[in-house]
Amino acid sequence: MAESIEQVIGRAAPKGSQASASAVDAVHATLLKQRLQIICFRILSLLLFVATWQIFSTLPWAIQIPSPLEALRAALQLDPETFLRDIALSTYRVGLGFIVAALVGIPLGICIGSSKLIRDLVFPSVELFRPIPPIAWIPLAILFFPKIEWMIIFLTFYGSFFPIVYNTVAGVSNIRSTYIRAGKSLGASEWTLFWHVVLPAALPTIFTGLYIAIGVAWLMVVAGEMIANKGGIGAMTWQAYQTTRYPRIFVGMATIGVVGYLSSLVVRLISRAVVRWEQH
Amino acid sequence: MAAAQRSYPALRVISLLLLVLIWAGLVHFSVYRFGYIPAPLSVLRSGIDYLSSIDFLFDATSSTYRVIAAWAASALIGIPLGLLIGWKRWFSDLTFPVIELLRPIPPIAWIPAGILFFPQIELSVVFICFIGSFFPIVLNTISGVKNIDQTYFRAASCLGASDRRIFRDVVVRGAVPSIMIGLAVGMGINWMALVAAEMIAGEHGLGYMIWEAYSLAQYPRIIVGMFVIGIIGAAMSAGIRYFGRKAVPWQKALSRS
Amino acid sequence: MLSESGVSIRHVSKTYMSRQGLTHALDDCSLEIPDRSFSVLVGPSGCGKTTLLNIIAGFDTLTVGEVRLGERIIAAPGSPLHPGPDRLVVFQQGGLFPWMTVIENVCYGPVVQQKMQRTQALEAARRMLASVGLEGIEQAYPGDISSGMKRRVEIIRALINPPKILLMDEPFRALDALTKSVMHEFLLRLYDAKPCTIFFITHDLLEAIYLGDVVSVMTTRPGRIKKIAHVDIQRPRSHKVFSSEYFLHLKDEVTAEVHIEAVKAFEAGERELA
Repeated sequence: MAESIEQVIGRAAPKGSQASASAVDAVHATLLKQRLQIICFRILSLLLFVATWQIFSTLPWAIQIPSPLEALRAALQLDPETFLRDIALSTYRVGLGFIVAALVGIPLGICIGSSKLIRDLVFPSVELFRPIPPIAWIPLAILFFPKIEWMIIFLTFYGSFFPIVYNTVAGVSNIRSTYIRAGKSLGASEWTLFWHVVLPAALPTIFTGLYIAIGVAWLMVVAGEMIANKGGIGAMTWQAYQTTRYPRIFVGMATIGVVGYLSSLVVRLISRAVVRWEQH
Repeated sequence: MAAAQRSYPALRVISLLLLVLIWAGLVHFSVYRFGYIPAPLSVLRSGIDYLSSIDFLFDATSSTYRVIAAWAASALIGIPLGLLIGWKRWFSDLTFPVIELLRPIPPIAWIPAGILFFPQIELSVVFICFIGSFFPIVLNTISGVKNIDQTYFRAASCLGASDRRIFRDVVVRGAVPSIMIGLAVGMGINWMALVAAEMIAGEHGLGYMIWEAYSLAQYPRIIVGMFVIGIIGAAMSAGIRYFGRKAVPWQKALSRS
Repeated sequence: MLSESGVSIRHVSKTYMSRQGLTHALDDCSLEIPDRSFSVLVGPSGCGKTTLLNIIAGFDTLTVGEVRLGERIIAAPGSPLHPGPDRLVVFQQGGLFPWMTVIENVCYGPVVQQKMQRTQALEAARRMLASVGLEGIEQAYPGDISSGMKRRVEIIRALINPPKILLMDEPFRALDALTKSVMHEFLLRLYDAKPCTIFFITHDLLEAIYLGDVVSVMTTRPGRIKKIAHVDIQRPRSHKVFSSEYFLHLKDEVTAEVHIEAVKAFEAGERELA
C-alpha cells in the first residue's frame, strides 16, 4: 500500500499544477544538499587539521616537530614484524589484566551489591583507594612484583578492577524493586530470581563498567610500558623520543589511539549482542 | 534478594581497622613479597615528617597550580567549542571529526609529543593535563546541548527570541548542568594525567615526588605521596561538584521530580 | 474574508523521509478557524494533529497547500520557517524554561521582543499572575511547582504577549482527571473574559466538546479532516453541560467517527508521537 510521494502529491494537489513536480524535487533536493554538505565539511575538517599541522611544523621555532609527511614516511618505514609484535604484546597485557579483573570483579561486585553487610565491611576500604590514580601505584608495583611483566599486568588489572566492581555493585543494587516484586509474585525462587531477574537487569550497567574498564586498562598499559621500557606500543613511543626518531612518536600515538578505540568497540559490540533487549 | 535496609555504620570503622591490620600483618610476616612493602607505622611516621616539611608545600603548590591552569585553559577553550558544536550542525561537521580522531589517544601517550612541543617541563606538564581535561569538558558540553529538549528551542523562537538570544537563554543555560559534570570529570582526569606526566617527565610536584621516593629508596614516602595525591584530588573534585550544584539551583528540583 | 486572527488551512499535505522511509503525515487537510473562536481538533494518537499544529506554528514545513493567518500566508511549500509571537504554543510536555523562575518565564516574551522594559514587564507579569490566583510563586522554579501550576503559568506566558492565535498541543494530557477539570474551568474563564483565537488539539472527545465551539475529527495516519461539528452550547459553560441532552446527542454523533479511527490506529500499532 506504499504510495510514492508523487502519487500522494498528485492526488492532493489540484490537477495540472506545478506544485506536484516542484514539491517532489524540493524534498529530494534538500536531502541531497544536506548529505553533501555534511560529507564535504567533515572531509574539510580533516584536511584543515593536516594542513595546520603541516604549516605548524615548518615554523622556525617548531622545527623539531615532525610534519605529517614525515610521520607518514616513518609509518611506512616501520618493520612490520616488530610493530605487530609490539601491538600483540600490549594487547596481551591489556587483555589478561582486563579478563582477570572481570572474572574477579563481577562476582565480587555481585556479592557486595547483594548484601549490605558485606558492602559496609568492604566498601570503606575500597573508597579509600579510589581517589588514588592508578598510575600512582607504579612505584609500589615495581617494588612488589619481581618481574616487570607482572607489574604491567597488575596495572591493567588494577585499572580495570575498580570500574568493573563499582558498576557491578551499582547495577545489582539499583534494580527497580518492581522487577523483583513481579518475579516474586510470579513464584520465583531466590536462585531463579537472581539468574533471570537480577543478573539480566544489572547487565547493562555491568557492561558500562567493562567499557570504561578497558579504556582505563589501555591507559595503564601505556604508562607502564613507558616506564618499564620492555616492549609494547607505549615503550615504542617512548623510545622513539629517547632515540630522537621523532616522527615515530606520532605513529605510536596513532596506533595507541586506534587499538584503544578498537578494543572499546569490541566491548561495545559484545554488550549489544548480549544485551539484546536494550534500545540504542 | 531483599537486601537488609539496616545500615551498619560501626562496620565502616571496623573495615578500615581490618585493612590496616591485614596490611601490617602481611608486611610483618613477609607474606609473599609483602616484606618489601613499607609497614603502616613507618608510613605514618614518614607522613608526619613529610607533611610538616617545606617540600610538601612546594610539591603540593606546583602540582595544584599546574592542574588548575590546565583545567581553566581547557574550560575556556572547551566550553565555547562544545556549545557551538552541540548547537550548529555545520560547525560540528567542521570541527568534531578532528576531536573524535584525537580523543582515543590517552593523555599519557601525548607525553613524548608534549615534551617535543614544549621543551620547558612546566609547559609540557600543563599541556598533558590540558589534554586530560579538554575532552571530557568538550564532550559533556556537547551532550549537554544535545540533551536540551527541542521544545525549549521552539518555545524561545515562538516567543520572539533571535538566534543570539536563543544561544544565551537556551543553549548556554540549558547546558550548564552537563558542563558542571564535564568540569568535575575533567578535573579528575587532569589529576591522573598530572601524576603520569610528573612521574615520567617532571622535575618537581607530587607525582615526581613519588618517583623520587622510589629511586632514593624512601619507600614509606611512596605511600604517603599516594595518599596525599588522592586526598587533594578528591578535595578538588568535591569542590567543583559543590560549586556545580550551587550554579544550578533549579537542578535539585528537577532531579526530585 | 477572515479577519486578522482567523486561520485558514487549505489542502495541506505533508510527506517526509524518516527512518522508516516515506511517511505521509497529512493528506489534504482543509480547515477554517474563525477569528476568536475556540477550535478543537480530535484524533487518535499519531494521526498527525501535532504535525498540523507545528505547521501552523512555523516549526515544520508543509509539502502541499497553504496556511493563512488573516490575509497573510504563513506557510507554503518551500517557504522558510518563521515561528513568532503571533502564533504562540502551549506544549504538551511543558515548555517552561526550567532554568528560569516563573516570573522570568512569563515576562520572557515581552522582554525579548523589546516591547517593554524589563521592570515594566515584571510588573505586568506579576499582575497577570495575581489575577489568576498565582501570586506567591514568582520566584519559584518550574521544577518546584505542581503540574497544574506549571500549565497555568505556561498559558499566562503565552497570553501576556498577546498572540493572534493560541495553539495548544494536548496541554492537559499529562494531568490527572481532577486537575484536568480544574484546568478546563481555568481556560474557559480566561477565554470568556477575553476571547482570542484558540486552536486546541486533543485525543479526548469529551474535553473537546466541553471546551470548543467547533470540533473537527482527524482520521488516523495519513491525517484527513473527517468531520466538523459545531457545538452550540452557551457560554459560560459549567459541568452541568456534561449531562445535557444536546451534549449527549453530539457526543454520540462524534464518538462513532472517532472510535473507528481509534480502533484503526490501535490495530496499526501506532506508537505515541511526542
